[in-house]
Amino acid sequence: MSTSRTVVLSESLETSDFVEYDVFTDVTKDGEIYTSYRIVRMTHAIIDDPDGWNYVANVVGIHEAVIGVAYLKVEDRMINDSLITLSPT
Amino acid sequence: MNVLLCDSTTGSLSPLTQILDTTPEIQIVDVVRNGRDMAIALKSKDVHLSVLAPEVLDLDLVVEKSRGFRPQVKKVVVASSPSVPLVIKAHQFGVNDVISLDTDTASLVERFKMTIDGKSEIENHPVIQALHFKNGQFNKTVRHNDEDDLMILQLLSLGMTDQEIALVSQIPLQLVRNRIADLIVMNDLVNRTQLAVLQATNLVIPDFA
Repeated sequence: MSTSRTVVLSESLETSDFVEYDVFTDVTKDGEIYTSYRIVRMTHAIIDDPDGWNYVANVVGIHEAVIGVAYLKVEDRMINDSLITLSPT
Repeated sequence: MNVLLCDSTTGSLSPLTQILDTTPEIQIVDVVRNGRDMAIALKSKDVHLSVLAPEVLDLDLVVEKSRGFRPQVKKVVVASSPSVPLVIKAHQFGVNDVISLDTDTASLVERFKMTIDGKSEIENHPVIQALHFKNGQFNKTVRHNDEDDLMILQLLSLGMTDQEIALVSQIPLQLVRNRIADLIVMNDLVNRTQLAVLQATNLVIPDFA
């Protein structure tokens, strides 16, 4: 059984050190609703996660005034999947 | 009030025509059954209200798009039994009201007057209110920024997934999704399906005139 480990990332690192573009779109509700976010900072790296999540980031909404935490699947510096937990307003 | 009746080829509005013929407040300027006659009547006659059979809703959209602008004529659909999908479709096509053919004449005339005065009863339909859709959102041309946007729209309207679009267009999945999100916002839509349907119905009609 694999267990994942979470590593805190240095605040001195830039988003561009991990991904090509800091804007990504989270898709929800059976692929119907598209919501764009900008990464403020990559906060954690996840190692050996069974579901494939490999980074955690603080994010802000592009078209909506929201903030939250995103689990990301990053591959070849591109974000292929995301899971957002919005902070209560 | 001047009313243009846009009937289907099967004449589903025939009972209504007989009723309105005997109603003094209403002047039927024409009864049309095809797009050409509809376009000519809208151009040449002083029409306050178009009364559409459910079957000609798509035709009305085509005529409107072929004319290149939205005429200031209010529209109602009169149907024998207005279903919820018909109400939603009419709303998204920019129709102002959907009325049952069984409505008594006095109420019918009142609803016509309200529509001409700009009171859109369709907005009060509980389904429309629950969906947060905007009136007439399919009655426009899809806006896009560049050629890549256009390609994504065309592939989207063919029923492709985001992954398939990324594969075909050679644009990374992340950027495909970002562009789709931007297109949804830019076109004032709510979801991906609306964008696909709007693009799929974005007909360019040649000017035969």
